[in-house]
Amino acid sequence: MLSICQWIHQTQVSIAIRESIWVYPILNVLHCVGILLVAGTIVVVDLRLLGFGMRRSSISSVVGQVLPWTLGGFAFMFITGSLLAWSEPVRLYRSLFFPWKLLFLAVAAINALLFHYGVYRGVRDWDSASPTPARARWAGAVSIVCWICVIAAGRAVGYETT
Amino acid sequence: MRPHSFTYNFPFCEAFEWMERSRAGEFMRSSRVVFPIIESVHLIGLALFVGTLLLIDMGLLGVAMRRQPIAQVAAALGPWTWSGFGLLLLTGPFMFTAQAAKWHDNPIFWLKMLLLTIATIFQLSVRGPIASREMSQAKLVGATSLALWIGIGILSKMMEFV
Repeated sequence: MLSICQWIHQTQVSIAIRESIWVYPILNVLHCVGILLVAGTIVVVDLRLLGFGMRRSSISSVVGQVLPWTLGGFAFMFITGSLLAWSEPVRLYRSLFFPWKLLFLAVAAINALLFHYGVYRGVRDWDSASPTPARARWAGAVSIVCWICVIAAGRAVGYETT
Repeated sequence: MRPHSFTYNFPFCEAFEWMERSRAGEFMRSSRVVFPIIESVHLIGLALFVGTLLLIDMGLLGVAMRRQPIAQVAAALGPWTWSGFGLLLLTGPFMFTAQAAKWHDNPIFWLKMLLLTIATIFQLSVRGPIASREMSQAKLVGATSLALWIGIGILSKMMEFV
């Protein structure tokens, strides 16, 4: 793993991002915007699943209207994040918090997929139900916790000195 | 701490020094982990704020949340926007006290505070009432709100580099 990181570290793209004055900060800002967009919009869905906020709209209506923005933000966050990681793989390899960030990101993604291809398939039966099914509430709660952890761990990576 | 030599001679130099030396400022600098933790809470508040604000403003522009009246969206999401704003207002001043004297000398900081005041007044006086009814100027209001908050976001990031 370390040798892969070291190989990435010396690629042209990695060096170019790392050594440019503007590219790294701009990517960093865009990455922040992406993550805020993802977390900030998915939380609306999560809160609806938990029974807070937008209670007068059906679940499928909230999911349908909000999800495009979340997915757009996710793509944005993922591309900029990958480039940032590409520029300093060795530091991230040694980082204490970066693996946690990836772990919470993975849990959030798996949770979203399980929700979408699980209980959400039968949403017609509980679209306006109150309270929502326990599995939907769990999905909302896990999602909120994961994104809070992704943001906190991500911020911690920025302050780490290795 | 030695007295700070200020670039500008605003009459409240002493007040800023006092804030930096206050218990809050000392607390923020007391350990390496305090600032990142408070900053993470700030970012979580920001995600909540940005996500819900964006959905409402894009709704006013007619781009998002098209399946239901925007007044309904604004009524449901507004409290969450303000909750996010509350977290920002709670943590922002603490982050500020960590290096108050530095911010005093930073023109971008003052520009941010000015824009923040304008945006908050705009939010309370124009956008709130407009979003709760359907009005013809909705697009203009949504665009103005977005422009103000995006400006504040850019200034917040620029602040760190000046």
